[in-house]
Amino acid sequence: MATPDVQYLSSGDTALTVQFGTVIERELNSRIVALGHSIAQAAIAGVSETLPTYRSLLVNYDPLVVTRDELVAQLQPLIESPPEAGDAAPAHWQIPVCFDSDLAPDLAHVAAASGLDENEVIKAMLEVTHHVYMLGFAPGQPYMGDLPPALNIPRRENPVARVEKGSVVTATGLTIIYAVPNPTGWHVVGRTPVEIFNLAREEAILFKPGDKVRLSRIERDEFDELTAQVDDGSFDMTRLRQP
Amino acid sequence: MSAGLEVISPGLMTSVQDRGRFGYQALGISVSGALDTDSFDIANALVGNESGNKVGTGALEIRMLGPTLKVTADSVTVALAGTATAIEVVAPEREVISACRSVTLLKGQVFRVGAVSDSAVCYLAVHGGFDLPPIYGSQSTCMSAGFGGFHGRILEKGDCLPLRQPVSGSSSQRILRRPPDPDNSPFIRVVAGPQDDYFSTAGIKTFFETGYTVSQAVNRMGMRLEGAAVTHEKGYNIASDGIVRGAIQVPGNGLPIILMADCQTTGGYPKIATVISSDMPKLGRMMPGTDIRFKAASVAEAEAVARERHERQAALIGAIERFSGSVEQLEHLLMTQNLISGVTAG
Repeated sequence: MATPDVQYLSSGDTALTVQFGTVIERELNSRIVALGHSIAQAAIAGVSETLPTYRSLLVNYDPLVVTRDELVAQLQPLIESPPEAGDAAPAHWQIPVCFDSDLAPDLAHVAAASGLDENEVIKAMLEVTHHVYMLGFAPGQPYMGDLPPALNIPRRENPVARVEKGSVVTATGLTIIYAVPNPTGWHVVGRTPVEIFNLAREEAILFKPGDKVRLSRIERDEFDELTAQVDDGSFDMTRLRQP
Repeated sequence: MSAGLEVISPGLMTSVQDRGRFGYQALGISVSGALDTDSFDIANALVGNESGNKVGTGALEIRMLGPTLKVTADSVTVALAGTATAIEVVAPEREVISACRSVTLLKGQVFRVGAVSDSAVCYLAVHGGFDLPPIYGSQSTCMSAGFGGFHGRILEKGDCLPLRQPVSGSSSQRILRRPPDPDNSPFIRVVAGPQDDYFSTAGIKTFFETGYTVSQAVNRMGMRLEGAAVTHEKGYNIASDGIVRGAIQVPGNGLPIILMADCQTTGGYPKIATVISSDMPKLGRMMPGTDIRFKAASVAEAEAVARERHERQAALIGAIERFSGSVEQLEHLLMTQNLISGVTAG
């Protein structure tokens, strides 16, 4: 792949937004995640951490240690060199989701907006192998894509004040699973009993950027049973991993 | 329950904060931490806490109205910074301890920080810090995700804050005789971007040339401003990207929101500018109703300001003096200060 034409955007005096493009695209996103690994390996003095998103990498730095110009000079060769492989290969996950109407209050709206019926919406979401573009907004919360074009529907005009953790929401052809209760501007189409963030677990956060996620449909009785297992700590997390 | 400080009354919004939670933004973990890091550092230095590491030692961030606390450890050394409000010992005997000096209080003493009218936040540090587990390397309270600090929330009546080193009373105290003068100018310096190209020329002009006021909608996540709407040119939705503290996002209604310490890690509104790191403590101190004027700065200027601020802050902390803790010596110290001030003023 050719060296991407990057832009260095200033995020104040403590961070640089290294922008690879303006669209959401997997290849671009993979380059960004890889650049994050390269920067970590290079251990550039003053760089404290990086944050990969769809189409840019936020590079946080200490202006007392490295200036913006010095930083750009050190980043440029890393961008031009072949991307480093990350520490770990992408993991494959299968996440159980219940689509019962009380857990999926916006399913009818999504169906109407996309021109599909509710079962077709569910089927489309189950058929996609989601790519985790980024974690953001809340701990471990995955932004995943891509759904078929019909599901490229706008966000809500008015956000709702609270959705529960585990809510599976969609808009703009993307899917998010909520890590903690939060307001949302997206449409709630299902819920998983799985806690994607739980500090009591050894691995508090389930996903990492680059992981692949499939949703699998469960009925209400199984949802309730798995919820009870999650609550009493007996839920077997290993069942979520796909070979 | 380990001995420490018992919360008799929690105040308006009191939380444990250190300098922040660094290294986990890629996982969606917010940085959090003190809004006014300058005053936070002074409070910690006044109680003799090391400031060598980046994260610092957790202290209580007080908002508008402070807590009333009872000492349940044998003793505790505390100091308040970021305000001219005093610590009031209310029981068993009344005593007033001015800000910017440490005091050692003994088991059974009850003290409080009342209404704070000169800053939105101030800091009560304790010698040795609190015995609370660091989560992702920090004791800062992340309220949105409900972890860190004291059970991931603001203090409530009846809480008991455990102390890391409940030491026996030391007679040596510290004082900062000349705290920095509060900067009451409305100017907040910003670096344009990362998405200033999403705004019309008129919108950019509005942003820099009209004044804004801090609205009532201000918390640790963000500060909504009132004033003239900034017009977009390329819409107000971007593919979400990373956010830093101080980023100024402009949603559809055109009214800027400055993102503060507890802000989410990513967001989908274009960001017209970013407050320079050196002006973030000042911003954190601003109360609803305060006027703000944005002033453009280059990154190079902001870097120079950051170096100056670092030196100024080091000089302030270096100016902290030890004294025996006796009333006589304190009076002498304060008298010397008055004499010197008198000479300078004359």
